[in-house]
Amino acid sequence: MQTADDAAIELAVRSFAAAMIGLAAHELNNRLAVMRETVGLMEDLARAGKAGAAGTARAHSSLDDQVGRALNIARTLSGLGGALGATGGGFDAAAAIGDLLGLNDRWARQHLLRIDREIADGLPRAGGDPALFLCLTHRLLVRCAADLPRGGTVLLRAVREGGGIRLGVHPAGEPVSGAVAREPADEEIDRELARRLGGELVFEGGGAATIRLTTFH
Amino acid sequence: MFGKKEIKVLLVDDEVEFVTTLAERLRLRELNVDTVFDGTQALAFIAKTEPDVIVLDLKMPGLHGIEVLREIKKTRPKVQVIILTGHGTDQDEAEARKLGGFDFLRKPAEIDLLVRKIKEAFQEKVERVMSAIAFAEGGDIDDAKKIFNKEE
Repeated sequence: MQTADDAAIELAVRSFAAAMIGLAAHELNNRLAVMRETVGLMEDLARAGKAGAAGTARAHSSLDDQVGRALNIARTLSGLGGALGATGGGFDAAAAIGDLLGLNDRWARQHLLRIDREIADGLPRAGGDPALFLCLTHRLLVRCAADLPRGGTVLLRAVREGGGIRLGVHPAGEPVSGAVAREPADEEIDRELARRLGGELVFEGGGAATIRLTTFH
Repeated sequence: MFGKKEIKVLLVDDEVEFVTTLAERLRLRELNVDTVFDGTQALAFIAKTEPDVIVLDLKMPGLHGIEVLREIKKTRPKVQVIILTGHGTDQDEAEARKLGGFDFLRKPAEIDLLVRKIKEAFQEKVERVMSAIAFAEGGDIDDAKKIFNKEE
């Protein structure tokens, strides 16, 4: 059976990291653009003698909101940086999923996807490299988006199973048959990512899949 | 010469706060501005009325800005389109220009630059329409069509 080699896995992780940096940069840029226009509007109104207390309060509130959203992106990026540089110790799968979805919020909206999550309380730390987990989960979401070109929902459900963690990726919507030809090599990269995490990946038809993770010892 | 209030601008961007704030700033500069929040709404808008200049984002839910630009140029070839994007690639820029986009700006753009580009786009549109009319009146319908559709 064909297996994905080190170069293919490295490329997959690098592509994932590049995609996440791109999404974060886009989102930060948008926050800065709103801030610049808000400040510009305050200046315009002041110059025109039209600045009122209500408008100023609204602008301050908007700026505060934008700063908060920019800080969230910075925190999420910091978490991603930690995951990409991790050298052992396992990882919190629920937090990793939260960071991933935070960065992918705009991407999901662009693809008319709503991503829901059901994460069981008290999941143990997962074993393996969190960068591989994030990369694999992202690739499975991209696969769902390709299967649902008209949009839909994807449910990520993580539960404790036996001695490990099971993460189900369940798309729902209107798939377009044959919309995207699936490359066996891509699926093999996905499986190899799961193997290198110490777990396994099972494709279940359409975009659905299950990742089984071992716990950290 | 045309007054700025006569320039009808449509802003298309899914970032609601950005687009509403920018619209207000452009109105303070006496432009006639409408806003919509995705490509489908933009196409519905231009099916009913024709703005002079559309300021169009690229990455939006559903239709990508490049697809929206393609459709605008098919149905309303006179309308000028300025791309204003936070994350456009060089490939996007080349494609937008190939499809007849007037200019390609990156967010956040200086308001004075954006206003200048809107005015230039409008001016070019007016000159093109007047040229096309002159050719048509001279009986040269083919050339008039080419100028009208920016094929020259």
